[in-house]
Amino acid sequence: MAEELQQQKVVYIPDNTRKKSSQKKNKRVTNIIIYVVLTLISIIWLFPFLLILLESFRTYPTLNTGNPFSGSGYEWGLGNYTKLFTETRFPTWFLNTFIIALFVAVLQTLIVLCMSYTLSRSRFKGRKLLMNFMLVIGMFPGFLTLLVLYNILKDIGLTQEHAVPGLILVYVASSGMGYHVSKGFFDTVPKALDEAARIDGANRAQVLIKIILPMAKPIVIYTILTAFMGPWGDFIFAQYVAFGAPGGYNVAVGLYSWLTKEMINNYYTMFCAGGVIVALPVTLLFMFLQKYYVEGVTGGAVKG
Amino acid sequence: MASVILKDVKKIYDNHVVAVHDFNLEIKDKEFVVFVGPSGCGKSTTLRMVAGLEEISEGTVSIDGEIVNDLEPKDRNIAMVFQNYALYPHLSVFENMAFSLRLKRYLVKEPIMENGVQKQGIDEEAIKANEREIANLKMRRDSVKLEEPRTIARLQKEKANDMGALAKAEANAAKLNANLAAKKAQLEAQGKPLPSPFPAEESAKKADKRVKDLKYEIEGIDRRLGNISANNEKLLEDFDKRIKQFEEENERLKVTPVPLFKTKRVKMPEEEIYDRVLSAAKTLGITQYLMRKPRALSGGQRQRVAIGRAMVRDSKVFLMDEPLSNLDAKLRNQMRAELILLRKKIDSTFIYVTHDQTEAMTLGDRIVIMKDGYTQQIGTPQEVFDLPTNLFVATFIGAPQMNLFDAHLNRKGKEYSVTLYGKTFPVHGWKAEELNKRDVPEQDITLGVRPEHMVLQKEKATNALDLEILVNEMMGSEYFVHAQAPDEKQVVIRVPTISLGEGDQVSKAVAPGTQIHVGFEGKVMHLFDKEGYNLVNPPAVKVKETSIEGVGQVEIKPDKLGRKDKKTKKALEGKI
Repeated sequence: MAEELQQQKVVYIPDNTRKKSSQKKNKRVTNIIIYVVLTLISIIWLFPFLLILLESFRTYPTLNTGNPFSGSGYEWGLGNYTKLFTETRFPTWFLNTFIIALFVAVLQTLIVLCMSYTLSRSRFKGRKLLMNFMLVIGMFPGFLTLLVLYNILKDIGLTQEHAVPGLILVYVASSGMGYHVSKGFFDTVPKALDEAARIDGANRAQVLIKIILPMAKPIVIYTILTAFMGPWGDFIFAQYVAFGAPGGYNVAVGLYSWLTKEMINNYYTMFCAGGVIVALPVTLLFMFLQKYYVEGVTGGAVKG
Repeated sequence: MASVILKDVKKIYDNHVVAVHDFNLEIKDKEFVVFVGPSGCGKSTTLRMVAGLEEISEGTVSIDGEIVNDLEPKDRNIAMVFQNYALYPHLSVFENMAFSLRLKRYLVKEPIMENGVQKQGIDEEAIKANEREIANLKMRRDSVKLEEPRTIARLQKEKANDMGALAKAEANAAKLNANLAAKKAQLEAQGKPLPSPFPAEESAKKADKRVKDLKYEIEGIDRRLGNISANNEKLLEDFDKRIKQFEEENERLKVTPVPLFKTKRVKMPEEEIYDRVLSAAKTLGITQYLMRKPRALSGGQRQRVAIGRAMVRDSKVFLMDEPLSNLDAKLRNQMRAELILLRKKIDSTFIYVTHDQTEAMTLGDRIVIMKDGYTQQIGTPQEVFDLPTNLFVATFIGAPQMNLFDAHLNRKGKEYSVTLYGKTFPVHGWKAEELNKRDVPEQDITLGVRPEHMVLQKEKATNALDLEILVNEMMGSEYFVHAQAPDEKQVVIRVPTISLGEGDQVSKAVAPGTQIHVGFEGKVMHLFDKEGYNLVNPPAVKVKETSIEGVGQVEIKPDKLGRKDKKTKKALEGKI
């Protein structure tokens, strides 16, 4: 009898006896916790930006009296903004930055898209090697080349006052290396589409322009945005190439030059106003193109 | 008008895989040719070489008398339909169909008028156009000349490689054969029977086959090396001939005044585009979807759009790469019928690729059956069905598959007969005559009989096989009866339901376990020699050893096992 029992096979019953918790109730509790934490984090994160905005509207004489939140000693005014554009070199810097960013956005987008399409579609000797090489090179921080680049640019005469074309050259020169995201997207477009278009009478360039790019709109916009953003906020290269010549500064370098011990007292409020103005175009760009930007990042990353 | 000629076409991929071997085919104008074969047999590659999407490694493809090896797809004047439709997702159906029309530029001729009469004179424009054409042809001719030494060098290198491999393979085969002989002798000395399967024998056979294959390869390379110059001469001749034609034409034009036209290079006007797209859409019944995006269409509609895109542009040749395989079974049958109708309306040359033998049989004027890159047989559907040249074609065409038996072919003077399981089946009619004409000796053969040609007989007879039914499949109008021969070989027989009587009689007659007697006539027997070639209708060139093993099989490398899988494997060892 006992042996028989032992030989019997064990039966496994799924355990449904544990208490089933209410999904709805659980969800509400976790949501409350998550929202509290997120609100705290965003307050900490947004505070400096808010402060800069408020300081930029403060009149100069009240610079050292009270803080914007105390209610007393703080006066509103647009003086900082008018002075910024009439009495300082800020307009030159802004224009410099804008020209650089615009040129880079156009040129870099062209180069990146052509590069990605080529790497995605053509098979040539050394293709893998080239890609690996660029991956490895991309791991080094760009400003390692700073000194060499400065010397080269100086020899050509594209530094100091003529820093703008020099900087465009620097930014655009290495732009082919940023092909990863868009190549990832192009790889997901079936090759049969290319082939169908080629049979329909298109050459390679027409395939890219008429078939691939319209399908890759998010990627194109993403590429333009990143190309624009890079030089817009760049500091290190701009600082070195325009070294000591305010005519060749971009906004980041220009504004930073006000942060010295001697200047800070005179320029503090204007510095804040400058910061707000610099942030404005980028914010607007992102607000209008955010949808595409997100699609571009995920489209390239998920399927790449 | 638009014939397509493929001559000694070969495709070698960069990794030295030969996808297509010496493909030869002449497609007549307005012919519908189907390439059919299991996946990986090179049918799509051949089609893509005609389209210009794959480079042609060797040989020539000519469309409409012009060799197009070096032409871009867009200059070949072909239209193609892809398996996955390849519709442009961002364009509407109308724009998809109009895409090629909008892209191309067209020449329009307008007569030059003077005082109400057409002006006459020397046609400078035509002369210039001809000169451009001549320059173009000369450039293409020169590139052929440049290519020749490179190809020769490549082939010689390939040959050297193969020679090296052959030496190794021969040594290996000799070693394995010696090993086999030694083992056999050892077993015989011990008085043991030979094991089956016998690994040593199999590996020796494999090694021998490799030697044979390599020898064949080297032979092929030698043949090609001998042909290259001759081939290229033909190419050059073709170019020279056409250059001469243009030059003569120019000589004539330079002295003869002709009515003058003004030629304009224009885009196709919108109205014309509307007309063309609309008429194609009407033919295909997709007018109500013209403004939709492809993603809002069903599979069948998408394929129609893809066909419409090919239709709008009066192409010389239509290429279709498995256009129906993405559709479900019912839709596929419907589209197949529509394709037959459509073909009558379009009246153009078609090349159609499929892996489905039904599609091939129903659509094609001629069928090209391929396997492993080799052409197995080219012929009309009736020909390949009635007279397959080898075992592969015999089993590939027809469903259910042809039954194959190991049998013996007897010869008594002029009389031939086949012995199978002790029964005798006489061969008569034209097949016997053909055997006589070829003077085929007595030998072991593989006998093929199609399931529909086997007939149930009421009584035991000397020319009827005695079988036992295993299972039956009810298909409605007929039964597929699976029966067992004395040596446990399975045989499939198609039995019309109506011939089995009425009511209960039907299921009783084909119930599992029933003993049946099956006969067949002499004229439906397919006789193959042991190498797999048809004795009555052998192929002109016996390309390569053909066997029915490995049809459409892909060798799969086992994956590397993870930690969990290794543990499972260990636990399961001995249990499976």
